[in-house]
Amino acid sequence: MKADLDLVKEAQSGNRLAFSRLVEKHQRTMMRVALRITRDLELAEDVVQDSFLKAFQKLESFEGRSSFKSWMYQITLNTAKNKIRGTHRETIGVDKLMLAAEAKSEARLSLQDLQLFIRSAVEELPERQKMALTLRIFEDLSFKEIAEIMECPYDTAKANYRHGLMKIKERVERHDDYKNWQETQVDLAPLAALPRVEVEA
Amino acid sequence: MSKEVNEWELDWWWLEVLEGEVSAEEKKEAEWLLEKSTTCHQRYESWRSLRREVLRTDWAAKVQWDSSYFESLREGIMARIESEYPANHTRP
Repeated sequence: MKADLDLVKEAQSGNRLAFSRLVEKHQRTMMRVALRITRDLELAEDVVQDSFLKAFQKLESFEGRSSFKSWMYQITLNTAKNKIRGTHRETIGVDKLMLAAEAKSEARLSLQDLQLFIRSAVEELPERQKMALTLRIFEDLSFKEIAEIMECPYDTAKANYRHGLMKIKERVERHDDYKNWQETQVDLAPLAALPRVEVEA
Repeated sequence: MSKEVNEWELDWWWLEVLEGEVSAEEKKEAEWLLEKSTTCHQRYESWRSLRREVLRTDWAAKVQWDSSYFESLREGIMARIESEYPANHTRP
């Protein structure tokens, strides 16, 4: 399998098959990234299409200072954010979730509630912290790659990640119902079923 | 980690260990502490568990795609490129 940089060079000299190979290699990852932001399959698909189109348009300017993958992450994240700007989306808030949780009174909160609680906490992080955290944990990227994507120094990328994770930890530990969360073992399969995850408020 | 550290710094340090962001010497020290100290083990485990739980919230990674989905997505992307930038024209 050819390396990305070789494929980029071939594509830069007009080989469309090489660009098609780059799409093939990275479209699944970019779809995942777009889905997390748009939470809508059709919108995510538009984002991925637009992102690769932009990459094709700007391919001449790609100098290989970062990896093609990091560059694509950057384009896809920006395209997705622009796409959802101005669109109204209802997302579940941590406070609402906590109220809902309290309403359960005697019943011990389920492990699925913990997952929802954490997911809401991730959603409510400041944008840069959320980006660093999702790129690190969900995409398993190195801090060097994250710094490239976020266009910031290595230490800043790491600090964003750490502060984000610390905020989530504090929230979980503050919540009485989740005091013993470390001992929980739960499979989140029921939450993962569909790409559309809008939660009605 | 030999200098005096406060609780907060200690907590950060264990996250650094978990993320593989410590030197080889510190890694050895961490391994020793994990073996000998329940408190250290709990600190490390709290980060590890949190990281695991956060990872489990990633619904996007668990979406099941039809086998042909990405093939047609790629075809769609290349068709758009071909339509907007026909091959016999110069690149943008």
